[in-house]
Amino acid sequence: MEKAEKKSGVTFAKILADLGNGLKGFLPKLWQGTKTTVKRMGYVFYILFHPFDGFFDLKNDPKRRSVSAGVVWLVLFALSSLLRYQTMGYLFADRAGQLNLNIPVHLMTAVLPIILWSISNWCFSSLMDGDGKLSDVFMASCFATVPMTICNLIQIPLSHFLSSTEASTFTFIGSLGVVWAYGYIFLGMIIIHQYSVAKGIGTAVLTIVGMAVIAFVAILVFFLLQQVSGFFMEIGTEIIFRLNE
Amino acid sequence: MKQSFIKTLAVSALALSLILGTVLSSFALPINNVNDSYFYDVNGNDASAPLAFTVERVINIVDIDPTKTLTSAFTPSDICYANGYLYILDSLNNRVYILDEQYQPVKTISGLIGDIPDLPKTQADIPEGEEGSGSAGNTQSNKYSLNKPKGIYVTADGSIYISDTSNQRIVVCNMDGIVSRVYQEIKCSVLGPKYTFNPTRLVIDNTGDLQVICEGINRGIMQITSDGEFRAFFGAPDVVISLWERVWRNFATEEQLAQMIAVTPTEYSSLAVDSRGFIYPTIAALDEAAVQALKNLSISATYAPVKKLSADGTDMLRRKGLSSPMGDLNWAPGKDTYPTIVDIAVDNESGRYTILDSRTGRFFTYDADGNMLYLCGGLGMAQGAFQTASALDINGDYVYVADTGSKTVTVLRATDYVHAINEAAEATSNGLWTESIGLWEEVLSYNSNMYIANIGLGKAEMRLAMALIDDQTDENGLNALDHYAKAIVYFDRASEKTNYSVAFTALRTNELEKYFGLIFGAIGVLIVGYFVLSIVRKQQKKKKMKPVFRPSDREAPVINRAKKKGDEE
Repeated sequence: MEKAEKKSGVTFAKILADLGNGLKGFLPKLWQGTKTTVKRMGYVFYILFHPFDGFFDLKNDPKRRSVSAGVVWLVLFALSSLLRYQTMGYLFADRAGQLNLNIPVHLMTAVLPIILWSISNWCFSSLMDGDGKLSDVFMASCFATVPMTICNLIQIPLSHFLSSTEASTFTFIGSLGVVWAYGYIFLGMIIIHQYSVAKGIGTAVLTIVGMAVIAFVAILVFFLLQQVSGFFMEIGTEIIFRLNE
Repeated sequence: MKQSFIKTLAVSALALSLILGTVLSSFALPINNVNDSYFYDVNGNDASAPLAFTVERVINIVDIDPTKTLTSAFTPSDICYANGYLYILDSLNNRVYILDEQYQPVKTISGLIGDIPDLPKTQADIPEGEEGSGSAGNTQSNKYSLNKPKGIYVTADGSIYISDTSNQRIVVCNMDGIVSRVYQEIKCSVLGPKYTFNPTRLVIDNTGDLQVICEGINRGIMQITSDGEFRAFFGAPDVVISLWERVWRNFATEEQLAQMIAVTPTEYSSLAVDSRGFIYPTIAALDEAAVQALKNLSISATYAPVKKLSADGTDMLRRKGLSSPMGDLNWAPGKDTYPTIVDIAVDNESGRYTILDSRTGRFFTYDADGNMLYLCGGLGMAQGAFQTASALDINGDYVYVADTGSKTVTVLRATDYVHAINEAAEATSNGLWTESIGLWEEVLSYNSNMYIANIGLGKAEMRLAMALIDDQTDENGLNALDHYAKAIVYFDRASEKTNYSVAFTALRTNELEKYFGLIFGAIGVLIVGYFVLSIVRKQQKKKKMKPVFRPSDREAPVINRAKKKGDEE
């Protein structure tokens, strides 16, 4: 009995100690990781104006490569599009939409296309001997969303300042961000896979088709899973009914 | 003891009344209640609104002809108000009833008198026509009586134009039934010699031409000169063929084409004319494309069930409202619930027009811009509700609605709410801005959801602001900017972005002028600062060039670089 108590006491203390040690090690690691990520996020401003060198270094230079920085940029893009939608000036806002906003869906519409593009592009590029890994494509695409983030953030104060006769300025900035970002997603892809432009265009078309297929399959699986789960739920309720009888 | 008994009695009575009250009020659900009036808010959702019209009188056949009973046949297929008389066309008894201002019968036209030409022979010549209109024709095809007339129009000089539909003619007579003119056998080269002229609704425009809708003719409105000459068809409803249908038709065989529904323009259901000669035709049977477009609140003229045609047939109707003028915005769920506009009447002075939807039994009034102003009616047996509304006419405050289902003509009178809206709208359109503010505020006190009132207030405030120069103030001590600031609030409430933008620009210009020096000073400082900073950076860069990994020096070993410490970007 005593032994067992002792043993359990020891293990408990040990767990606590391990946890403490773990935290001790973990927290500085986390801090260090955050610092590096933030530092490497800054590299995007080099990419914005030097895309060829920028994307090449992003992939090949271990001091610049950072998937976590890309993820942060992607999250910031989603948040900026949400912020833009909700804090838009009256003249440019979609009021009914603002009232009925679904935040998860809105964030998903920003994030999902990038994820889908990365997966689909990785699938095709491995068939068409591209050099990039999935993480490379994803990271490059995430970094390429930054023009859209910037233009979203510029659009917010502008929408409060411009009148509807000057709406063309507003839409120009919006489309500039979109064209810039889509162009960089494409550029990032061909630089990472070491493709020629023609091969890149072909892969991009295939990738978009692949995105559609993936979306279709995902919806199919989703509905099937829903039916399967519904089936088991029904069995469960049936059993509960029978037991209660 | 007695007192406590009374107390108990009082308490129990109170409790009982409370219980009864809750029970009874829970039964009083507002189903099919005509007084459950509504209007649309700025988002197109229906919101409670004050009652727009009250029932003044319900005229049935006994009121007109005391010898008959309430169950007697009576089909008021069209009505017309003119010169202080209400003309009711009874297409079942082939009569015209004329009522005076007090809705007392004055005269009845049951037969026609005078020198009348023989009926067109086409119908009488066909012996096997007995299954259709022939059966009635055999007994009633008599040139001295009407035969299923479907349209009536009375001019300012008292001439009564009756579309004698089954007799294939238009009769012009006076109140005594004395015929002055008959329009029949209209020669129309476009349709060939063998068409049947079955006029229904008609109006006379300000040049004296007859504008006639004919059964089975979908080329638009038939124009007939006062001399009885065919002039033209005009304003044929557009045919909308979807792209898919067009492609499909190219590949279909002759047999398949024959089986397909022929794509023909729909017929007009009714029409009205205003004092400037514009014709307002309506369409009752909408095609599938139009139904879909209207359901999505399209304001395209192609799908519009109400039009305003100028002399050359172009559509001039302004559609600035939440939807194209079509009646209810939110339709009942299910198939074939689209509005069925069966009649229209125009108010000449203001340009307002009222349309009648027989599917919902409601009538809707729009202003000249196409904004819905108020609505009333409903389906049912109650007073002020209709079963099969067939025709409508307006006379100032009064609206007359003929209902062939309940065999009545209902006289409705506008409430103070409607008066307030009309007066305010007239003040706005006449440019009486200061007056219109008070009037629109009165409308808002009746119905705070009335976004038209906010638009009117905003417009008035903006005009008042435009009238003031620089820092000039009006009698209330307000300058132009104060008025713009007020206008912006009203336009915001009404979601009026175009005018909002104008007022906003005026306010913004003022702010910009105020802070011009500051803004441009700041920009100047930023530019100078940037240049200074870039020069400083160049100096620093010259001192210490960072190694950068480039495609141009691709052969550089990656691993070695990674090992260097403190080399991070």
